[in-house]
Amino acid sequence: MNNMRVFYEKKERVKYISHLDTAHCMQRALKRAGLPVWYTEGFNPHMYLTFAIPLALGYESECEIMDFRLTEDISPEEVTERLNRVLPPGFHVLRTDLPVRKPADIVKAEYAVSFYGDSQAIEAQLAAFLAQDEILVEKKTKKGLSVVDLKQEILSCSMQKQEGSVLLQIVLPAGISKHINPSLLTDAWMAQADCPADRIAILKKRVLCQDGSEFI
Amino acid sequence: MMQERLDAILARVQRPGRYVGGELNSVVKNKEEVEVRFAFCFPDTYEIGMSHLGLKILYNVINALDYAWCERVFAPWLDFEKELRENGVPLYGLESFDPLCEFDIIGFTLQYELSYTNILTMLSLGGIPVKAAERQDLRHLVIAGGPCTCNPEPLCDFVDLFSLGEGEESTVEILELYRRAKAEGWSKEAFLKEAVKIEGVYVPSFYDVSYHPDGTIAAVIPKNGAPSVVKKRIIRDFDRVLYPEKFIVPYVETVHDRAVLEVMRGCIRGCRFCQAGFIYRPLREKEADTLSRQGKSLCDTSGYEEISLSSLSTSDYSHLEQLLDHIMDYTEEKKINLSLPSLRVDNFSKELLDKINRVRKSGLTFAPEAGTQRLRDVINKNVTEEEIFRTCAIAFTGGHTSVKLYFMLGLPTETLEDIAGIIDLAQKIVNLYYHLPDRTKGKGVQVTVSVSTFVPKPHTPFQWEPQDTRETIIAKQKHLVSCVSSKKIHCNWHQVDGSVLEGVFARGDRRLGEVIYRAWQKGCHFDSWDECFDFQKWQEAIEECGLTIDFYANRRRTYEEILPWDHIHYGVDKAFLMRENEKAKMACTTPNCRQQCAGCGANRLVGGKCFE
Repeated sequence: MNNMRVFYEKKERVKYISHLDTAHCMQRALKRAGLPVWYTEGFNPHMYLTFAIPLALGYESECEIMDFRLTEDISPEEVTERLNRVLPPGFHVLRTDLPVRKPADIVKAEYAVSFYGDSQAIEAQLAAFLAQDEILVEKKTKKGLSVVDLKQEILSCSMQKQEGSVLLQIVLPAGISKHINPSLLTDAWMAQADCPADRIAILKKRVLCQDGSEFI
Repeated sequence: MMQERLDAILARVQRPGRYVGGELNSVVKNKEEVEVRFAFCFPDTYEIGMSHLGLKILYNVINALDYAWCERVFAPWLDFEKELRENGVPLYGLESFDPLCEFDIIGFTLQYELSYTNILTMLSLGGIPVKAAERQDLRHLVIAGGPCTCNPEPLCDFVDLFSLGEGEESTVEILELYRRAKAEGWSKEAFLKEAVKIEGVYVPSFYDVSYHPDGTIAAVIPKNGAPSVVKKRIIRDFDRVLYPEKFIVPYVETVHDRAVLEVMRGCIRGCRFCQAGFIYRPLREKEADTLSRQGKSLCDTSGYEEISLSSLSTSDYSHLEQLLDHIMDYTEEKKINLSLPSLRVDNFSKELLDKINRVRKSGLTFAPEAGTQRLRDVINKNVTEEEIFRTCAIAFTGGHTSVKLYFMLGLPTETLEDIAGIIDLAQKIVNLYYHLPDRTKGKGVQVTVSVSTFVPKPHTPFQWEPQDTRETIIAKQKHLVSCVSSKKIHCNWHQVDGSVLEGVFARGDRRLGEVIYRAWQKGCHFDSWDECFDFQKWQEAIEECGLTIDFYANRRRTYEEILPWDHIHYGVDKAFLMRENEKAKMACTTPNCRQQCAGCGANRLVGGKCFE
């Protein structure tokens, strides 16, 4: 039995496809690709897929991770090639490898957040917003609402003014034990009076382990 | 630009995936290279519309033409509609994101009466005038097809052209003519005058309808060379009709998210309440080889985990065993589930059940439709109690512990005894289970009784019958529930008001156009959804137009009366329907088409003979 780890992109229109629907889409793609994926046994056999971290609806990503097992010997390169032949537009496999680390090793993720609008105004307001001593927001958890100070959670952050937009590169906790979505920050900022941004786009760039290395 | 404007909105709505297109096998063409742009509009949500086989078929038929591009448009759910209006974003085609008003032909499918207000919503959101009289140019031609076009009269104010019957050929002919008309700069009227020469095309504005003082129709007079009776279109060689090799595979889970094989069109049974059983006549079947080839292609190109054999009565398919043998070798190897909806109790065999059980055990549903033999004979549901018991015994012995039974309330001649008979039948099935020696041990049985309200439909033997009033149906539902004495029997039923309105539109005339318009202006939409349906507003609209529910739904019509759909011919003669109505009154059954031809007249559509 060969474990496979597929690293793929989810971009453009498919950012509006939920995590569950993405899983469904991948099952069908694996089926179309004719890859011999291992099925669970039992009353209702189904393809066994696991995803390292679910991606929030509306985010684009360059670092999605899906694991499955193959019942025959097929090279990772062939998996990449066969999947890319059948995936719908927006999904693209970057590479396939044998899994090295466990999904629990993921502790942080890097995002590129683009704020569109008057970049001068956005830059000034955003800088002031991020310079506050604390940024308190409400976060929904399984136990109900809790208050989080985002200021404490930002692991690193840099801003760059561009033509018609401002790009914020930000690293936040991610993974099983603690997960902070950048929308918590952007929603809080957008909720302020006379916010100068028309819209925001979030792109997940990398998932990282404790030592700062990329998850493989 | 459009996509950026949408981006801000989509972040705020439920299930945005249904508004972005881009699905596998959806067709994107270069709009500069096509001459006719067609918007296939389904007046309900994406999840429902994408489950519809007719959409998949016509999408494929139109996109096979190099000069045309067919896109899909669905009714936006309430939150998205609100956002579109507030942000001034027009409703758009899912393939190009272009506004509806940039399309040449706007084609709606009419699957059920309670979707009519959504047609107005979609036109208005797309920047197109809702009334046909306000659209003077050839551009924005609004056409409609689907089962409800067998009485299209309530929609005559809004639709320019109806396509009656099966659309695989006539749609192409309409598009071909439109292409010429557009290139040569014809007026809308010139186009319509030419279009009525296409068989199956009905242009309502070419007919003048006058009424008697009592509201019944005095005359329907054609003009502009339109035929006095318009006949539906039919596919003669059903085995060879164009069928999609690929289905669009939705991202968002739809109601029926699976590959579908259309094994037959039409039905041999002639159940007197069933509109589909008459308007799709005569029966035509596909060859087993054709179906297994199409099934493999659909699964290979979609990755679907389920394939369904679709028809009005799949166990009547002549080559069912052969087809199952062919296709199950493939589906088992590929771990694909096979589902067979629409099975009958009178030809359900142990062999068939064994085949179904080979892949996955799913629920079993049967439709006795009525609780007593007398009433089943009235409706010509040629099924006996013994057959129902035999089938349930096979199912229970085969490991099933629950069955679902469909019934109707409000059938012509129905009495309280017939209603008690429904529960009596369910109770006997419960008892049967406990008397079977080889039932599943240690498990109880569950019999679900699902009742709907009978609505008399055009082109059926019951088209003259009064529909039960709201009060009568509610009383009957109460009586049904009062008869249940076992916890093994579960009853569920629908709210009545929707059926009342369905009854009004099913047999309505042109004067209902104003009712639809007013109700829509009052905010009626998604009327088939309980959470949206507002019967009060509909009652107001009907009253404001000087009309009554009673006139359309609850009145017995005479055989002499000119019915609003008498100039629309679906192949079945009115004289046959009258004969069937008389036989119903005597509880006298009619054999199915294979046993003996009942002389309905539909054989003329296929050149004389229905069966070899």
